[in-house]
Amino acid sequence: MKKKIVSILLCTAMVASMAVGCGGSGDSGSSDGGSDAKTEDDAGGGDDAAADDGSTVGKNTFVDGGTEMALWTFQELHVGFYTELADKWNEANPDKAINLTVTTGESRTMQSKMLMACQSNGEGAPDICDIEIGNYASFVAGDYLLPLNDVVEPYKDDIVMSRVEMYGDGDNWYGIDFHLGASVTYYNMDVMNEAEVDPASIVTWDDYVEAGKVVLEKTGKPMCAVETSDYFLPQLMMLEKDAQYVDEDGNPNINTKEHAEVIEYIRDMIELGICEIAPGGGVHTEEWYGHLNSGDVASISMPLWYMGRFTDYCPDLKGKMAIYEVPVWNEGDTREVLQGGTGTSVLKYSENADLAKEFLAFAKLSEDGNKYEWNILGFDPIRTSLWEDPEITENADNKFLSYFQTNPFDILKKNGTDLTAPNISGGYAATAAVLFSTTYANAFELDTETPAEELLEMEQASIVYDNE
Amino acid sequence: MEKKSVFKKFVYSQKVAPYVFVLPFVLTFLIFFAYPVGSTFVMSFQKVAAENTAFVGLKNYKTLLNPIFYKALKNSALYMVLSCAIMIPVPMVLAAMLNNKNMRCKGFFRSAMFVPALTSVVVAGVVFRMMFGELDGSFANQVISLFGKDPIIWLRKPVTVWIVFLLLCMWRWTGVNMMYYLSGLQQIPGDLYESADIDGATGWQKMRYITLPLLKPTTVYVLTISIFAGMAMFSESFLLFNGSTNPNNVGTTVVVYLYRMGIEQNNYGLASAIGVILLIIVMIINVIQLAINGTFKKGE
Repeated sequence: MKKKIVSILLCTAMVASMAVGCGGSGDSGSSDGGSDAKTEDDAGGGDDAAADDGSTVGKNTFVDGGTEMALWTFQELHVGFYTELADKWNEANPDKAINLTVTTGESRTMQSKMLMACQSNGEGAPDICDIEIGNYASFVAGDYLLPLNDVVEPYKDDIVMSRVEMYGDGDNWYGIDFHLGASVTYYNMDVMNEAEVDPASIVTWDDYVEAGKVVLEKTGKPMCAVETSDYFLPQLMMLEKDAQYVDEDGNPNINTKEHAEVIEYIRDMIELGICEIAPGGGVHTEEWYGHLNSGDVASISMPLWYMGRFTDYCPDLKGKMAIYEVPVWNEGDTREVLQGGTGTSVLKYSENADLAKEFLAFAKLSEDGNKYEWNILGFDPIRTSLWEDPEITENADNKFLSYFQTNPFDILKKNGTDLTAPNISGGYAATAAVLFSTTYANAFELDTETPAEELLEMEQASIVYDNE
Repeated sequence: MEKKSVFKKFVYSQKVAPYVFVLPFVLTFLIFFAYPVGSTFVMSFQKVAAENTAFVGLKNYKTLLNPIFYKALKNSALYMVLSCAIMIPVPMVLAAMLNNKNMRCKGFFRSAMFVPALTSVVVAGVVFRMMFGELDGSFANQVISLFGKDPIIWLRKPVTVWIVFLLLCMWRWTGVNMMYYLSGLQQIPGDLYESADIDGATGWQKMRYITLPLLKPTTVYVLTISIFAGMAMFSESFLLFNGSTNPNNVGTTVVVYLYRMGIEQNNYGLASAIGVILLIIVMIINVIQLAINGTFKKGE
């Protein structure tokens, strides 16, 4: 009996000590249950959690005689989007009604399942699927997707085309995104006010660095953070220089003058103490969310879809954050580029390909679809008409507009539709794998002494890409 | 009637029956082991792309002559050596302690040490990732702060990553290896020790000349599976780093690299080549190890 009591006590102690261990970083994960949108994480690197394994299924309201259609996604929030849009589609097109079945599962598993289905000549493949930006090139290279040109054409004048063109090979477009994904800079106004710096006065990166020095001096907090296991800040800076990670033919090309300049620039910021390594190594980690939420960093440059991370993971920052344009290299440059994303495509094995294409374009490019994406998912609309619609842009009840002090639509309107998007073709996935594991870890944390050009030469040599 | 007797003859035939009995094993072996190994071998010489699959000769193997694969090999080898170095003596000593007459709470310690093996690696990996977080509040950093040390960024620096790997490995597998040794120890007849006592042997001599030699079959078995498990380590790294990428490939093992190339980058030919090389290496090491330990000698 005594033994039993002792063992129960010890077990309790063990469990309790574990709970304390989790508590440390656990308090950062104050998410509202499963709303973690993994959508924008690239190439499987640096994404959030391995938690969501169970696949779930959603269906729209059944229509008698409708065409059966299957859709795979890796994001639970997208299930509601697709099923609701399917209902709207059926309302508008009773003659072409569909019965949509949306299946979701953990991101990595879902992507590899889809690839395998394609590789076995479409055995068991769905009609439509969400594909993470980093994996996109694999599907295009395998010739598994259908061109969407004919269904996108009618919407062409109403949307930002560079977002569609990036999921293509020049002539054909294969995928449509959920959002525009325009990059902005999020400032913590508590910190900025304490340092008496007005973010509106920051135009160039040099201004940003100067402001960072003031912030560091007055508040002791870093101006920004850089990731070692993801690429958002360096990619943003490179896109502003019109530099890409792969060349026009899709061959990995990270050993460029522009890339070296960007790395040296960020290294200088780290040296000055105004840029830190993001806790956890990336801006989608538990450690980072906790750090950000406690107001320990003054700003972060990420695409607009990152708004959802603020609303979900940083409840303490509500009303304190402001969105401004990203800094640029030279005054007068366009202060906006596109980053991240998820392309939705129709597989060539679909038996109802034409209908699937039409529905996809309707869901992603119509006004109804874009309104849902903005209101529920917090994705900046790809459709420009919404930017001018006061019902959308001035909606005080909107979860995202009410969270931030400034209005993101002002930035979208100001910078127009001629935006630079990343080139994700060919060896992008292979390149990203190297960037995420060695390049930025070495450049910013482990091997800061080697000159950037030399480092990039070695990194370039370690990319395995076969384009034949 | 004729038919039935043929059937009966078949079933009761002493020649056929053994084959019928081993058939399930042979079938599973052929379908789930021999065939995949064979097709992996073939795929390692191919560029795998659905209907456009084509033979490319040794290209995949040539591609593997790259620094990241070398690093992955080194990591796997290091993990194997370190885990074998720890996971054989430690469980052996623990088992000897548990086998001792004077030990108290045997049942409790035995189950407490075995419980981690029952948890899923997924859960353990996630919990370890949290415990070894880099913020001040993480479990590991709180523990070292008791000793007046500053917080450490555990999972982004080479040495600390290896400490976490080995701790995770020990935490999970000590109990299992200990069980093997415990059963080995309990098979050693007590009269051997008795007669040693009569001859005036010391504790150390008993250990050296009775326990260790008689535990050899257990050690050989544990070593063999540890070598394989060490070289094939994947989930620990994958979960600690939440994916197949990790800072400067400090935790990239051969199988992590295989996953990255095959599943993530859709290069199944290259991934197959990695698998073939891993299989060859593990086979060679184990054959050598078994030969040295005399497993192939007749009469043992």
